[in-house]
Amino acid sequence: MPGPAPPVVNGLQIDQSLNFQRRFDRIQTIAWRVLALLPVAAVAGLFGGGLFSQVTAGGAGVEVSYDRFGRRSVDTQLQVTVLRARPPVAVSISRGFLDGYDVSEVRPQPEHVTAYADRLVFTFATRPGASVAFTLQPQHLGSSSGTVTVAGLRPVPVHQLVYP
Amino acid sequence: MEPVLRALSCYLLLLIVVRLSGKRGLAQVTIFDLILLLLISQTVGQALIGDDSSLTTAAVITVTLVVINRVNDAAAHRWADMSHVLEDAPLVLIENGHVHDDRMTHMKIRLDDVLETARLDEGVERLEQIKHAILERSGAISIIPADAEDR
Repeated sequence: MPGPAPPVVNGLQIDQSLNFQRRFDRIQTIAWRVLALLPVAAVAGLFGGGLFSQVTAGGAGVEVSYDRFGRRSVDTQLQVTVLRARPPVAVSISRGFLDGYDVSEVRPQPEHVTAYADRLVFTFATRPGASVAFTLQPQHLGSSSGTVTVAGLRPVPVHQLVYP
Repeated sequence: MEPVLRALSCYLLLLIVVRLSGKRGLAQVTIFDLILLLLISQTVGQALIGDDSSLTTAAVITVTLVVINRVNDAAAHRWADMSHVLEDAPLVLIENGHVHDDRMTHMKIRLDDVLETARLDEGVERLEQIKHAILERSGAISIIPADAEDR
């Protein structure tokens, strides 16, 4: 069936569905307001890499900076600044967090890496005040949580939401 | 599975954005509309394939997109309401010589636009020579000129 014949109005056979168009216009108006907020939210950092997307957590002796939001397969950085620790510095990252990522790069290069069942421990010959940067590539969608611990200091919780 | 999900997501995203942009949104009315379309296709194209440029993935994505589009067409054909949601409905801008100002304002169409189409398509010189002007679902304006009896 090719469908019902459209009505003839003022000599013109056309189905304008004006009621539908009025309803759709209302939806469109609301949707546009939401869409217009999207670039603003992106600049602010809702999708990572924005003005307010960086989070710094930590306390006495260590600071961990990372992006609140990541995107799958796009590199993101986790930076650990060790303020107070004797070299060599051992930074351990819990598996619960790291399993959702590929480690693309670690700078400076660790002297050695030790794998445990629940964490990976990267050992660096760095001095207090120095930073180590982990370039991570998210592989899993959704939220990833875990801890970053510098030996002898309190664990720092990290949490990132990964978009498709 | 991932290429299929990517194709589905991109199709849905484009469908929503294109529908929300309105009839004239990306109707290639101006050169800039065309440029915008090229930019969008380039951007979405990269998201579609990700870092997998294999022939298999290309085939899966192509077939998936065509299948979704076919399902879309079938749904629009079967249900009139679905047809309106997916493909919109035409809107009469000039009806028997009467200009619907409110509709034209709402659709952000100027009389100049209608007259330009009337000149190009029908060789019409003045507004009173237009009997009906319809904003079609594609975003194009179709013109039905008034004949001697109408004037």
